[in-house]
Formats: sequence, C-alpha cells, structure tokens
Amino acid sequence: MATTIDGSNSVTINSGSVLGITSGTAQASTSGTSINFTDIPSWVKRITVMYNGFSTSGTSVPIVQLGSGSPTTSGYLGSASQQSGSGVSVGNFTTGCAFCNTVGAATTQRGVIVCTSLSGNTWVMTGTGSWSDNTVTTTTSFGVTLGGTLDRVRITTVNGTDTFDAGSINILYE
Amino acid sequence: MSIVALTSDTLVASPGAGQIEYNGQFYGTDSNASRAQMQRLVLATSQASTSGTSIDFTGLPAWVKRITVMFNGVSTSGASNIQIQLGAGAVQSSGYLGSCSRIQNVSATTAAPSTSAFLIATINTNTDTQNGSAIFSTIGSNIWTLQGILWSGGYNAQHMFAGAVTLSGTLDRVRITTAGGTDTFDAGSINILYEG
Repeated sequence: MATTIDGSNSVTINSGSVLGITSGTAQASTSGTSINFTDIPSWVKRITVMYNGFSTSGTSVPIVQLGSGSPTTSGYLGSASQQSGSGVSVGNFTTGCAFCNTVGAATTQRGVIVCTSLSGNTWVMTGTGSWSDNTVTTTTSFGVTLGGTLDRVRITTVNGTDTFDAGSINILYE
Repeated sequence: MSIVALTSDTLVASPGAGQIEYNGQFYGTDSNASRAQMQRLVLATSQASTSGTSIDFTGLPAWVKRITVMFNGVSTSGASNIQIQLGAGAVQSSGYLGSCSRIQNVSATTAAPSTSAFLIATINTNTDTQNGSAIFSTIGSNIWTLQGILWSGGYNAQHMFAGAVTLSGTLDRVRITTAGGTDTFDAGSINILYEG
C-alpha cells in the first residue's frame, strides 16, 4: 500500500484501505415520499441508517433500499417483525429492508438498520427499532445482491406514495 | 499546528518501531478520490461486573460516532431491569425514548416505558445473565440512537431493544446500571468499543 503524507494534513492511499466513519447530513423526514443518500464511495463496507421520530402519512411499511446507479427495488430476501405484550408478528418483503411488519399513520419510530457488505455486491441488513409508545420493539433482517457497486441508500415506503411527516434520518458509512 | 512524527526502520528516528504517530486527524483519499477520516477504533478496559450498582465508562473523545457496549455473563443481585444511560459531563437521566422486548417460550413481553434510561434487559430473577451487545450511533446534533439484542442465559430468552435520546452536549460517558440503582452486579464483565 502506498502512503503519502503531505503538508495539508492528508494521507493519500490506494483503494482497499481502512477509512473511518463518515457521517452523512441528517435529513428531516417531514415531507416527500423518499429520502436519498447518494454518492457513497465504492470502498464502503458498512452503512448505518439511523431514524429518530420517523413517521409517515399512511400504513405502508417504511423500507430501506440500496442501489447502484439507481435504487434496487426487488430481490430483497428477509423478514421484519414486531414484538409487544400482545404478541409477535412477522412479515416478508421483497422490495426493500422493512423497518417493521405493519405500521399505522400515527406510528413514530426510532432505531437503527446496519447494512454490511457480505461479499462483492451482496449486502446484509439487520436492525432493531422502537415505536412511539415505547411498547413495541421491531427487528429486521434482509439480504440483497445489487447489480453493481453500491452508491446510494433510499428510505421510502412499500407503496412509494405515503409521505414522510415527522422525524429525521441520517447515515454513517465506513 | 499539527505535528507529524514518522518512525520506521527506513527513517533515522526510532528505527524498528514501524509506526506513524500523528497529533491531529488523518484523512485518507482512495484511488477514486473519495476522502474520509481514517478509522479510529478503541477497545476500552474491560470491567468486571461483580460488584457495585453501576459501571461507568468516561472520558470518551468528542470524535466518537459509534459505541458498542458488550455484555458477558452479566448478572445482578435482584430483579431490577438493566439499563444504560449516556451523558455529557454528567450522566443524563431524562429524555430516553425506546422499548425493550423479551421473547421467551414463544411469547413476548415489553417492559414498561421509561424516559430515565434505555432499558435493555427485563430481569426475572437474580439468576438471569445477559450476553450480547448494545450499539449506539449518532445521527448528529447530540442525538444518539440505540439498537441491540441480548441473550438471557438464565432463561434462554432474548431481549431486543432500540431507542433514541438527545443529550445536552457532546457525549463523553456511558453508564450501565439497574432501574432503581440499588441492585448490585454480581457476575460477568462489560466493556465498550468506540470508534469514529
């Protein structure tokens, strides 16, 4: 590995090096039908999607989609569940990594989904979340193979038309 | 002004050490001109959770973006729930929003909400032991999110939890304690891994 240290306090290294955690810019999830984080570098091996006080206008489940050039909207394999005193429910999704199995328009969610490169363009995604009344915990686990090198993350809903109406979302990548 | 000190066996100073010491921040630029700060990953000193009512990790640097709290066979003297608090200068005891569910014998229960801390394990008895990790990541603006799963060794149950809190300032500490703060730790060990 070539390493160069110059007078600008920078290090220039070849690809494949270990770089640190970069924070995206937090985006308010208060309008629109999707939030996109693009131009993610090709060396990224882990992406942490964080949502706080997140809510939508309807009952379509929020999902995370990864992409290469454009969001990948199919081929996700996995399930999302929610646990509470009233029981457990689990559902499968194929269009993205779901935050949870079902959701209401008044539901506010907070949590984390971690997307990790398994090999090549295959990514695995796992996370846990909590609902606004603090009595429901959600879990999610998915895998997807992209058509190329990951360069973006999209947060949207399964139907793609429910609008965001509260909260904020950001990513860390490394 | 930052200081760059190079020590390697190819340089005059400190031959054989083979290390780069830098008082400042490293940024790396890869062959595609992507630039990022270089990895900082620190494993703290493991603490035995065999006594006391709380375990604190303090002095965390301002650059930290993720903290992994690891539990190994952690047990307490009573049945109070285990919880985690973060802090900026002092431990914060309000503003926590989250949930903790326990799955055991094909049924789920969720702990009563608390805003004074993140609940991460609902304890049945003093024979319960917790194993796993809780991971904190920052959105920015002193907002920290939580995710994690613990295996409850005493009952072969699982705890899953998540949440978020806005701190009053820059995070510099993590406290693991119990609800009520009186039950004492009596087994296991806890450590944190922090990175940025």
